[in-house]
Amino acid sequence: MSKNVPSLVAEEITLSRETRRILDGVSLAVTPGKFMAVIGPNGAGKSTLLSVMSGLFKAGSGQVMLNGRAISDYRPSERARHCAVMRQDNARPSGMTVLEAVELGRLAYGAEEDVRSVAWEMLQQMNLSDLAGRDCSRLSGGEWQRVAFARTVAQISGGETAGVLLLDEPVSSLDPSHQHQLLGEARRLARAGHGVLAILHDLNLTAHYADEVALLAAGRIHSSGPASEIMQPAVLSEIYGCRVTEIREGGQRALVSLSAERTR
Amino acid sequence: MLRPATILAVLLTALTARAEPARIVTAGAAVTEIVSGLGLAPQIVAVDTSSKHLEETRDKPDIGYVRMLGAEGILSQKPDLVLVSSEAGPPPVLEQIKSAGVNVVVISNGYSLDNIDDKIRAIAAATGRVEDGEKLITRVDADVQALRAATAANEGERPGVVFLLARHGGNLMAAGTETAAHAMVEASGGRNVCASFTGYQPLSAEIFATATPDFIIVSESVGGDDAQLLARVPGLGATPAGRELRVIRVDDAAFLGFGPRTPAAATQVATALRQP
Amino acid sequence: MNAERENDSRRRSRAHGRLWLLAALLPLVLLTASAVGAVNIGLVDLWNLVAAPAQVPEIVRAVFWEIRLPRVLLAALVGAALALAGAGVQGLFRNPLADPALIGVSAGAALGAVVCFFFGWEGLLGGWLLPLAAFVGGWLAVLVLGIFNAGFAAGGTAKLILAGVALNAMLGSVLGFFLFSASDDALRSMTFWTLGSCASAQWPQVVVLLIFLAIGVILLWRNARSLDALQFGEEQAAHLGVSVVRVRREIILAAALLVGAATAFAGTIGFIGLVAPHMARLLLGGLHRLVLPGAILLGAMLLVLADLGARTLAAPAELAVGILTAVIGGPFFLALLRRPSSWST
Repeated sequence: MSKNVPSLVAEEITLSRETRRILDGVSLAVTPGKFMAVIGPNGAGKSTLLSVMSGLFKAGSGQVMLNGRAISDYRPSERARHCAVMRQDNARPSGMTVLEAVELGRLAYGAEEDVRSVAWEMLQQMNLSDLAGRDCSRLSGGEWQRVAFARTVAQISGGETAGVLLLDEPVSSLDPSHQHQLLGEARRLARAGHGVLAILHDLNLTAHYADEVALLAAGRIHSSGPASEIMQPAVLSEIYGCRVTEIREGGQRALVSLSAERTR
Repeated sequence: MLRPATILAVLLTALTARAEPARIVTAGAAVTEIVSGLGLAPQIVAVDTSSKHLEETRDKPDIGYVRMLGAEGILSQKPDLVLVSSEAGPPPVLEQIKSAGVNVVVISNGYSLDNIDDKIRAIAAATGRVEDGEKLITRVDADVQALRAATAANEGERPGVVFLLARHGGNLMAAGTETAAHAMVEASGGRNVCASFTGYQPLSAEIFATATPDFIIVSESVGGDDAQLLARVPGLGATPAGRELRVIRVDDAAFLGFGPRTPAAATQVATALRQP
Repeated sequence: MNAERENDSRRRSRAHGRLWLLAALLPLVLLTASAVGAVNIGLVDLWNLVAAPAQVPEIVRAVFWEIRLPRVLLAALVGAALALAGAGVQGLFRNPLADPALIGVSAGAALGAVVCFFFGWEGLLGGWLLPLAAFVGGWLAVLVLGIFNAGFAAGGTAKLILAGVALNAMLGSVLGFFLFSASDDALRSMTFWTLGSCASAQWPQVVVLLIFLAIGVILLWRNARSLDALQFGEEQAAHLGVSVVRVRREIILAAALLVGAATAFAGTIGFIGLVAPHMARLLLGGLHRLVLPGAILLGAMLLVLADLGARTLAAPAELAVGILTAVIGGPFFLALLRRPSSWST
């Protein structure tokens, strides 16, 4: 696989539920080596887009190609080796340790490979080794989110080809330090050649970690491009419907929304 | 009155019967009563729960409910003959007992007084007590004759009867057709007013809108006096039987068992039905 | 890091050790149950039955080979089948209160048997019509459920559970109609069938049930890891590579086979399908490669012991085994729930 060839491509995706149009002609490409963030207001269709791009939902029209092949042509286990998804609604099983949960990231691989050593490696990378023997049901929400991330990464690591990571609000339960740890790891994976797509809400984290940003509003791509272009106060204020301002201090830049003042 | 099938059964049993059995297990009240009536009560080593009403069997080991027998439990009593009525089961259990080399004889059960003689004959043959069997049959036949005489007076205008059975939890059920109670009410010269349904059904006041019994027959095991009984059944008080408090109490093991005591119990009922 | 690895492998070998302990207990339970009964056999005669049959009285030989051994084995197989089906269904529905009865198979089987009793057919085909009717009834119920769930493909498990509840209610009222209109004799037979019993055990039934158990074991074992992944939720499991619809179909198929066959030969026996998998989880953790074999072993032991009670406590009479499963399993289960454990919440 050559670099910068899009590995997961959504073309003109349209999806309706009853009479409501949830996605309306969405095109998006996840490129190897790039960290792409999808942002947008609640109900914009971000999670639905992720479900369609991962092959879980069938699009009403348009298609999703994974490594040049329609994603619907993949068998679930084959798809899972190329495209790993971390959902928001991850049920926390009881009677399963953190290590065992991460091992399940390798479910789609043959029995002969050493699942356990991959899982240990992931735990180490995520600083989770101390929790290895803890039951998943006894983790805090943030710990569980990190475990789920480790399991998702385990799904595509170590393969000969680069994989795609789709992350739905992966840092929603994390404290600032762990938010940086997780997104830093995601960016490192992108630098290593994987394609990463993350749905995010935090504007500053998005601006800091994403290479590219797609702004989704009302089921359409409002704008997309390099993070530095998209993450501008004017654009964001329009999309979110509240004033977003920029604060600069000591060479650092922050995007904040300090009032509920309506902008439309 | 011998049916060919009965003769065949008697012959077969007679041919296969070895020496007189020393240890008998019985299941089914009528079967136990007949075995006891043949003078074999001392040879009975265990009986089912429904056979515990007899003085002679009260203290014998209990092999449980007749439809839920266990092969090993019965075999542990080391029987050389197992005599059961036809409702005994489950069927594979009887097979298991046979496969252990024990003689199992199933006595067919029917809701007919003629059937009693057949049962006695089959049991007598199986136990090698043919002479005692004929004596018992003579006695039963005499009782049947007495019953016929008692019912002859009722022919023409049979009194309406409702038979009440007490189910667990004390619920009273009325006997419809295809029940032992129906057969015995008719044999006693009564007319079952609940002939519109089969089996035993829970009572509702509406039954008595169309069915008007002149008599109520109920087991003597049902507690309370007649007035209390009437109070438990809505609508019954308004019927002729209820107004006049015409309640007949029967020993249901005897009246419904189709055993040797049944004709005499029916004669008592037939006599009671002739009272105004 | 190394300490954690050591802890982990110690924890895993502890769980495996417990499974092996259960596996070692089962032969002991079987042996005890084979030695004890209304007809006294004892361990010496038990040995002689194999080593020197001539020294054993003929009646004891007959009781052991024709009655007791098939009965003990049937109880073990029925218990194993119910527990295995329960483990699969609980894993599939991610619901600790799920029971194989939820997919309608028990109610369907009961209906099949009751129809048999209603028409007085229970003795036909040499007594094989009754188990056949129960099995077919259970299957028809699952089939109906499948048709209403678009082949178990659409709607997810929540819809399936709701449809199962509705189906059970409908079957229950049809069942009630038959019970209401049945003759007194049939009614009594039906009642005792629904209480469950292993008293009718014979060798052919043991063989048939063994075959069904083997099919169930294969179907569930090949989906054990998928069942683990399903604990994250069906969508997440699909992302991990689970063919959710195929897994769902196979587990329902296996549960219907197992419960249908067990119910056909032993009537409706409750409690084991619900509780044996939980016991396995409490002892062995939640991974299905441990839970499934653990449930099989525990289910087998539970029912063998319950049946031992059924045939000895009131000897020479029989007790209904359905009454005893809860009496024997309940206290054990409560004790396990009380036990502080490294992983339970």
